Amino acid sequence: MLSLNIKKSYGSFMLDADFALDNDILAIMGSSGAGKTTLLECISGLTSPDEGEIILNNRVLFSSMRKINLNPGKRKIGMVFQYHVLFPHLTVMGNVLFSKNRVTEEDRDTAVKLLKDLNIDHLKDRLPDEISGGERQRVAIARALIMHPDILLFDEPTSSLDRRTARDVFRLIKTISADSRIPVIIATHDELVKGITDNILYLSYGRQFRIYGYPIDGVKPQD
Amino acid sequence: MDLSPVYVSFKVALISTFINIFLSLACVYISMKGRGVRRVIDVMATFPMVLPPTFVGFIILMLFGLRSPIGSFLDSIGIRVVFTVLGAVIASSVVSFPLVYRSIDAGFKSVDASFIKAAKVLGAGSFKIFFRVMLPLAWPSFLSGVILGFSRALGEFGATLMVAGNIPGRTQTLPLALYFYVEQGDIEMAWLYGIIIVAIALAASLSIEFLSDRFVLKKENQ
Repeated sequence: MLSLNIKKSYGSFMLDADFALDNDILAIMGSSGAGKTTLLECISGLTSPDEGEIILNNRVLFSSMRKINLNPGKRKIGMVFQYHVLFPHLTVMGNVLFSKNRVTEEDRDTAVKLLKDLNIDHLKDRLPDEISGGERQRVAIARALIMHPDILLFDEPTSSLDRRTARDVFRLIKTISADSRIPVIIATHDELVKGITDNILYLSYGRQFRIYGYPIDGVKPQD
Repeated sequence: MDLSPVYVSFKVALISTFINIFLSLACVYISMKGRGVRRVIDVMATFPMVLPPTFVGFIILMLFGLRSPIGSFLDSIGIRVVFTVLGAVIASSVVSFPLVYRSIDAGFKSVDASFIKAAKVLGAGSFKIFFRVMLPLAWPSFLSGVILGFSRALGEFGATLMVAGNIPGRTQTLPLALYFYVEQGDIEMAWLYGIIIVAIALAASLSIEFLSDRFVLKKENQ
């Protein structure tokens, strides 16, 4: 379970987020520049909130009061970035195994199994620029899953995909969520996300920046 | 025709290029630790580029000459810098370092920040990010820097003459030999060495051009 209560400002922009999430899917919606990525980066540790607390499975990831701020690598977070961000010089297999410092046979077997589950095991020796957008998305998911994360974060997972592939990706995320039983957060402005979850938080932006509504209450967009 | 200047030049240029690769990577790595450190390294690294090579040679001479503390200490343990190949290597390294550092640094700076973020989330430390993510992505700039640095070291004249002198067969490099033959009025020999220098410069330029083209094509295909 994730519980989060943070504030983060950039100049006149302020993100004020306060919500909790069980092992479920939460979609964070809002237009570009609304702070969706900032929120994900605060959870993953790529950005430090100004104040507040982030707790994942009773583990404090960030606390301004207790001066705790775990490194991204120690947070056990799987993050799938916008445009996938696969390392272009590494093969699909190399990308999936990147998080392993000393690759064992077991790691290789796990990677192959993950790629098989995602129907891309035949691409394991290809470079990212030799595969399609949808396939890259699956590689990015496999790369996140091999870390056995406590939470999965998706940043605009369908932004570069056609509608059919986007629908497939959302279905895949739903399957992964059901299988892995961990919280999943999807930052998106793609309405298709409503096909896989009712838990939606809306971000609206302005001088004061707030997240309204809680996933338990469902959709609650406000000004 | 005496080919020793070609041999000495290549030896000096190769060794100084290896030194500069190591130093540049170390400087780029350290400069990533903070803006203050970066500024200091950037200024220090640019300095030899804006100073006349003869003055750089003069400073090296003052630092490593037998009358200096460093020079006399090195001499006591059997290492001589002045009028040796080692002196030529130091002079070439100092003069060509800015080109290598600047080029490698530009390559590292151009790496998309999202790759670094992804690597961090995947648990990579700064060393792994540097060598497994940034270096391969900055590879074309790295190679350009190495080739530029090698060419500059090969063509180094002023600082080398000040520090290593012009001893045929020992410290006489291609540019020094060219100068020597022109001064003696042996234009035919000067031309021969000149053609060798042009051939090397052409090969270096073509290599950079080839690498740039490959990089641009690869980026377009992504």
